[in-house]
Amino acid sequence: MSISNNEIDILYSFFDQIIPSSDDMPCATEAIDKKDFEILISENSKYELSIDQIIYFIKREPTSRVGGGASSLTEIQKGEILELMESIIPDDFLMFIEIVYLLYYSKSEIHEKIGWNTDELAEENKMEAFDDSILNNIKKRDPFWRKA
Amino acid sequence: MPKNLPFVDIVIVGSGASGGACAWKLSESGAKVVLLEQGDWFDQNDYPGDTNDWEIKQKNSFHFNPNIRNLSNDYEILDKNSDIHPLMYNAVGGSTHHWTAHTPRFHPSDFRVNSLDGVAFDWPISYWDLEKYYDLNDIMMGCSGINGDPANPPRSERPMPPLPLGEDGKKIAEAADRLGWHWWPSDSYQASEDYKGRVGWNNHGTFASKKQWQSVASTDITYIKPAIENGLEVRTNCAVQNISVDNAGKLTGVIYVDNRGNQFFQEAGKVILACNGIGTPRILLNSKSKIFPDGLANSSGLVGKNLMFHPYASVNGYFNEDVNYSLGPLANIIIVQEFYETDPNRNFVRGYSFQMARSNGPAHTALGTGNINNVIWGKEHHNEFKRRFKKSLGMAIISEDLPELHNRVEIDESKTDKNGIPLPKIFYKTSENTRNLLNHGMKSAEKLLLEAGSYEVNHNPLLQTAGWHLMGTAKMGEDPIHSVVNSNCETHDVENLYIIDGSVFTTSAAVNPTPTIQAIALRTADIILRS
Repeated sequence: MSISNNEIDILYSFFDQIIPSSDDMPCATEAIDKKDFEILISENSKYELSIDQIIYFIKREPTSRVGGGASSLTEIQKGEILELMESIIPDDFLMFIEIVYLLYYSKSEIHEKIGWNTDELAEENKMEAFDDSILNNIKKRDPFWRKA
Repeated sequence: MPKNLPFVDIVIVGSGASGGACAWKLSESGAKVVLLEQGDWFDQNDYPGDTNDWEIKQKNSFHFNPNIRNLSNDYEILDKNSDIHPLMYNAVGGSTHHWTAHTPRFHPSDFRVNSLDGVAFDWPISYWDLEKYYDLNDIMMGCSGINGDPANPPRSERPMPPLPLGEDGKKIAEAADRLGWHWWPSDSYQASEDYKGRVGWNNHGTFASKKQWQSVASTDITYIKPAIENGLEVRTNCAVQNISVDNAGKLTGVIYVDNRGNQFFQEAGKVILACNGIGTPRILLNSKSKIFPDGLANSSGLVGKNLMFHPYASVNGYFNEDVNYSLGPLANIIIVQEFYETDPNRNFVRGYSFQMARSNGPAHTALGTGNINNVIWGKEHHNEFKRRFKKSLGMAIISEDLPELHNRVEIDESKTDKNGIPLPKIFYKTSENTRNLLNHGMKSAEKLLLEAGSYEVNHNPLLQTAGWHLMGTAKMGEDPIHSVVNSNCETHDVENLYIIDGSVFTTSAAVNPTPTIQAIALRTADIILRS
């Protein structure tokens, strides 16, 4: 995938519009390294066409073509561009969302904050073994499979 | 010119659910058996789990869909004309590396849908012909479950106890009890405890853990490794281009190419195709010759026709409380078969099962799965994520799909894979019967989830991404005019050519097909050995 550093910067600058910070959660760029973004899109070809479309979309937007160009968009302008993108090129926009969400929710820091613990040995991850007393009711039912 | 290889008794093409089972059974005879697999060995340590990026891998390099995964051993499936996208995995073990291992059996009635309901066709074999092979397969794959299900015939003792239901599973079970509906713990080829050297679930962990994957049976472990000890030869990275016949139409062997582009002719006494409902017709249709200009074993014109999936709909319910949905297996928990059989008062024939499905990890929750849109972006993102995460569960409706000639696999001669083999192109539309059936299923699922305490539900009338089950494209029957293989799974047209994957299904039933595919494969091996 051929994408310039400047284009990476432009796309990355939209991340916080997609996941802003809240009281207890960091915004996207606090959690996601720019390098992670570069690696994800370079290693997975399925994003290539959508990234091209998104860059093209951002660059051709009138607000991107005045002043300092796409690099100097305000946060409000970025939000407006994303809304347009969502309605005009929805499939490509969803790919962009997928990238940001995958990267954000793959971070340990985020897992800790939302209470996601995949440690098999953690006490909170122990389940009760199957108890067949729960079958007491259904066991009363006569067999009803159709003979053939 | 391909390099000629010394004669072997049997070549099996494909090492997934059916190929693995058949190879093991045949290997016990001492026959010289070669198993060809277009993929490579899969290291169980490579399953995405226990690492933070497991959801990234599931959306990319470990995706169900080969068109998205795009690994070197995958071939593209041209599916733009299909309502449902087919899924498969290419490696030793095939798609048993990438499944939930939900393993219900067909019902006896599933083999007699024409006699009972006047639609489609009866199978030339019955449930009772397969029963002992179902039992054998349950032992080899390792079945967790419990006897006594009133919706099914009695069956042999399950080798392991059921997987834990979890708090969410109990909610659904109790709701079904209150509605007076059938439910039962799912039979599953996921080991609930350590079994034959495999890691068991042992009631510990989330569905994202590596143990989740390792406790699920895959045929590379359950069948192929013991078969190798019996003398089976496995050749990986070998893609079959076509099946060869002589001028009299007699089977001679297979031509395949390895990953270095070397072409081989493997002479064989018998060839068994086990490449799934798309891969098998692809090979047959690519095996044209003067004597078989329309492809091999295709005098009926039915190779590739009658493609069946199991169309899925789903309903997702939200709960106010944490339903602990991340714990336990993903989708092999509970089965509901209250609406399995035809009811003349409904506007559809045949029926469906419900399969309870847990949601997924954090990224998948944010992205939405199946029936729900992604969590909104922007200022409300975190609030909406918290509303969903750990607080939802779903019911998948798995419908019987009836065979229709226009649903089919063809070959696109103009498009080829890396080996120059023409690609399969599929055409598939859901029928009115299926849509009516799924609508009924969604209403029932909504009723069940609301009874279980859900305060809101979302519907998805058709999961386009759920083409796990590929069936019907080389139909079994006794009449050569209306079927491709006979009741022994040998093709009507070419002696010693067998098909044992889901292609041979006459009808689809409304349950996951793998135990039935494997029972057919074991039975076919038995028939070959007796002959």
